[in-house]
Amino acid sequence: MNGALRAFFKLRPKLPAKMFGRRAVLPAAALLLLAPPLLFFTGQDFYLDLLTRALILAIAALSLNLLVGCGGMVSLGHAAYIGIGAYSVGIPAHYGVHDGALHLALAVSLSAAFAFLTGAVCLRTRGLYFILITLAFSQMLYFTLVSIDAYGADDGLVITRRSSFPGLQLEHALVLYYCVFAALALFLFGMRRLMHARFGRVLLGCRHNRARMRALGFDAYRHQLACYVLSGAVCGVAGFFLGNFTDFVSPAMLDWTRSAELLFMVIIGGAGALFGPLVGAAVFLVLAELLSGITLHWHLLFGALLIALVLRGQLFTRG
Amino acid sequence: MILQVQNLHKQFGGVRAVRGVDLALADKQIHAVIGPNGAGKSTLLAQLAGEIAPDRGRIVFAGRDITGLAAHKRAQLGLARCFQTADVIAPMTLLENATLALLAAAGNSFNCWSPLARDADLRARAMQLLEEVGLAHDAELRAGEAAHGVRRQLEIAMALAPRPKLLLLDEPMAGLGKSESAAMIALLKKRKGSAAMLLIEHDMDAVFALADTASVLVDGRILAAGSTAEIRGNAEVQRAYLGTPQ
Ligand SMILES: Nc1ncnc2c1ncn2[C@@H]1O[C@H](COP(=O)(O)OP(=O)(O)OP(=O)(O)O)[C@@H](O)[C@H]1O
Ligand SMILES: [Mg+2]
Repeated sequence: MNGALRAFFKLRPKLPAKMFGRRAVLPAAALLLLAPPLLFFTGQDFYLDLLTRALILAIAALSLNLLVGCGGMVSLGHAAYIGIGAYSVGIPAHYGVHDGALHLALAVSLSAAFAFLTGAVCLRTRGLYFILITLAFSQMLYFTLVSIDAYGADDGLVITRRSSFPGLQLEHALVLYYCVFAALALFLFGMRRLMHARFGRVLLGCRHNRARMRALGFDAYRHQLACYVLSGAVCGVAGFFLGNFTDFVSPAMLDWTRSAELLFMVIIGGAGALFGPLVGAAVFLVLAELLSGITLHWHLLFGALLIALVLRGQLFTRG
Repeated sequence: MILQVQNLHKQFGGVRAVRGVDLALADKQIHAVIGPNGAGKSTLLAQLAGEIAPDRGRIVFAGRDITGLAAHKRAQLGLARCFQTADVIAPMTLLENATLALLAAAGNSFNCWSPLARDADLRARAMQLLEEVGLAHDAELRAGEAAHGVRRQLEIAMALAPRPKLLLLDEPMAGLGKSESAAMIALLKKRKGSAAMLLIEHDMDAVFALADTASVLVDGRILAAGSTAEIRGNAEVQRAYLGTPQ
């Protein structure tokens, strides 16, 4: 019976999740927890930065995974929320407001609001149309930001002071890192709960058979919209961290290629796999870093590798 | 009357799939809709379920006009349906499918926190649901890997889970072997009296075994309606079934 119970609520195991699954979680967590001070005190700032960026992107990819993996909604406009989150730091900072709580509240609420308004429209469509409309909305935001001269237009805004929280010095690389780490851990935990709770199961049902779920009496649209809003809000937090991390915001952050990169991370890690986005973000950044060191024409090689990884991922998600 | 349909129309481009259908179904009765391929039976059912919006006409269910109501709201009112393709959620196990079916009525489907696995009550009820259709031993089987007959039975169990007032069935015998058909007829017979059913079916043995009344749908129009005995003896119906043009 116990076995039945366990089998009952387990998502289909995907290869990446298996490869980096349960047994790898503790060592990975220990590494992520202990390595940064070593890197910091031995002057390996470059690697600490890489790690910080990877975790921030993992949060963004996790939010997209909620959408793609749990909800079956493939968005090509998710970087919009990174932009919203980052500008929630950049614009108040531009006016000399550095209150972190306010920045974070803005990042979450504006992302959620944008997700609600655009999601309400996007979710009237399916498949390819859905992808294109999410893309169109993010491009609208992109061009809006490009056109606002007060906020630096194309060039963006430099953030001279990071978000300030009482007792937290985000200016310090290690402090920022551990904040990102804590946020990621929190979201991973929340995501795990969600996947096994009613909401997650209903979303999965809608992903695989919307008509059946509706015939059972589930309002598929409302569940998917709730998922869309939640996903946007979480990605807004990633944007908040990215703005603070780079000390800079610009429309380039929400360029559609950024959205595509997030999608790559999700697929590399295995859509629907809890730790997939973390794996995907790490693989993505490390590959980009390694290849750009080898050759000037690294994008070509990178593209080929991505295709290979995506094909692999697809094979395994099909199971 | 649990269901009254008046002058229902649906056109797909140039194809007039349903044109002017009237139907009435009494409480706890089984009404069969028979007719050749492409007659518009599935389209009719999809309109009743709310998946396809009719061009014209009126649908009254349990005294309420539901013509413009969304599919999930109809389901919540007690209108259940099975699809022609035995539509269940393939990557989930039979037990998970059954649980989902119960969840719609149990509510709280936005809960993001409490593991469904800990809900012993829901699980027990899902297990019971499977037991009722004789699938308990396959509870952990993934629906996508189950035999077609199993998926059919699962789908019926899911549709009946919320104790609907009316069950719409789109060819439940299709693709079943002889013994599976017999089991399905027995299952539906057992439920006769707890819910009214609208049964689309090509298998005449099943129709005569189950239905009280029947309509014959040809080219989107009701050709004849009456008790199953009347329909059986109707010469016009036999001609339509033999496929003589119009
Ligand atoms: N979505 C659609 N778009 C265009 N035409 C459709 C659509 N659905 C059904 N039709 C057409 O409407 C007519 C009726 O189809 P329907 O599926 O309702 O028939 P049916 O009686 O259920 O047939 P069968 O016994 O084969 O299941 C057919 O000619 C079909 O091609
Ligand atoms: Mg049909």
